[in-house]
Amino acid sequence: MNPKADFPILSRQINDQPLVYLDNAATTQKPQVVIDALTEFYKNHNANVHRGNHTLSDEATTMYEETRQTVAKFINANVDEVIFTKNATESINLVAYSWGRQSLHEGDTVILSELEHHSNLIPWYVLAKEKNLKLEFIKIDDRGHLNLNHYQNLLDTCKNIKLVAVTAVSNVLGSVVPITQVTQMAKIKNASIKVLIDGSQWVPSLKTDIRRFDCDFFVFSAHKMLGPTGVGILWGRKEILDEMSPFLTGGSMIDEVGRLEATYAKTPQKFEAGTPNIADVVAFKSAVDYLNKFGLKNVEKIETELLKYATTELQRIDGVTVYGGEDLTQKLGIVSFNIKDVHPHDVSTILDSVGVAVRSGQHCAEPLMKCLGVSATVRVSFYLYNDKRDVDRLVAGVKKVKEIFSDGIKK
Amino acid sequence: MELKNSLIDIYKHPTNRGVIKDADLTITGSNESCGDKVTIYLKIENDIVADAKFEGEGCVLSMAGTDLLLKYLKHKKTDEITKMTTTKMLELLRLEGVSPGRVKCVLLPLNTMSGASGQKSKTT
Repeated sequence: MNPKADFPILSRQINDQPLVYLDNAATTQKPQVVIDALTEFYKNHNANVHRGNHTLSDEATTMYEETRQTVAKFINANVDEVIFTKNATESINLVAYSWGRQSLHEGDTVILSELEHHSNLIPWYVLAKEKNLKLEFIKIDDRGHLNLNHYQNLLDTCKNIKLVAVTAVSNVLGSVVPITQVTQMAKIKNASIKVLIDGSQWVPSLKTDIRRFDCDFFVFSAHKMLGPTGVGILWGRKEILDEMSPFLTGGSMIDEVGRLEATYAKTPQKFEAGTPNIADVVAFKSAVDYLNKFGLKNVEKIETELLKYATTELQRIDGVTVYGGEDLTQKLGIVSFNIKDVHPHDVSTILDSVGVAVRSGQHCAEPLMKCLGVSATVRVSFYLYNDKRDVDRLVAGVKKVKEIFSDGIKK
Repeated sequence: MELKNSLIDIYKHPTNRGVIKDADLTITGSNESCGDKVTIYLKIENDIVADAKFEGEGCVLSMAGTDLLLKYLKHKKTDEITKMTTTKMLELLRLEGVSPGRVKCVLLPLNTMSGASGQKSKTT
């Protein structure tokens, strides 16, 4: 099994070296089948969905809806609870604007965590300001896992808790959150508390079982799981979605339109105003099919093996600090590190010069950076096409960075 | 983009690192999103930059850039500060281009210095 062969971009040379792509938490590369699906749609089936009465429109509608069915099956959800958005960020904004505006009131509490990506912070900051809400943050422990005692304490002491919104996996440390437990703890405290899970880093690598998670909203992005950019998913409980006002309004999301009033279509159409990102949604099906064939168990196995190998190899290099502690259980293939006296941006620029693509900076998680006591880190993140040779190239690159900066800095 | 050895050398061995205790102008700048911070000290005599030093933490581009900018401005008229441009900054760094993600690193010294042009009185 050599998945690299399925991904044309991985045979590219970057700065005269074969590309090693280790920025998968930002976005994954696309297999040929996804690229082909995109081309095939535009070549042979392109038309608008849900409105035409001709062959192409019927085909486009069928293909668009087939992806919804495939996604619903993939996450074990009902098909009419799956809404297509632009990305996970838009999905969270949809919940904040539509459900939040309706259901949250002055003095209510929203519980977030220190692990969150800005996408699951800013929509709530905006709403908190508008509505005078209280925001609380579940603390993390030294390993970068949620401190569940602190969470319980927040549940016990905060007033009018209406929502718990947390990530399922940290995009900086790879720590996996026990989401079912997080949901259960909230519901046991008060069954009316809603729980939103940001599954952006979970769905690409771990089995998603919406029914078991027992949450109320679940969001993720297609592009982090081999799919095209511009497709996000919001799953929500039907009874909640039905009560929610629409987010964006216009064509496609209406039932009847009069002079001054309109009635809205049923979910999910109610939340998909205007012409959606049809071709990318259609091609996303091929990404999910690829993952189903490859097997999420295999993805997880590859990631955890590379996590262990990379962590061990990086820690052996003098002056390298890996964040998130020694214990690698309950972690996916994301490693954040720094090299003493070298700025993360310089590390990533030098790694790029030897063909190794990594991320450096704050990874859209500034509050977490503050918790770690750093201003930025270098982040490597693995996916199903990475192997140990990629880690070896990374390690060689890190050694080169050290060599370049070896004779110290005059300060 | 390539991180040239000449820039890394300047980063490691800057000529203008330090503090001017009786500086006429002290200006600080930062790139919050990458944690880079710089403080620039200027000694001004008869509208001439008599001395310039800096301290700070940051990447090669922002720190070497600050060093090169101060070297350039030293012994020049203070109005040269306001005449500084992004193109000139790239020229000082001998860079033909910068990757989009690193533009703010290059602009940190420039933006910090632009804070100096509006200040006349002595600050601490």
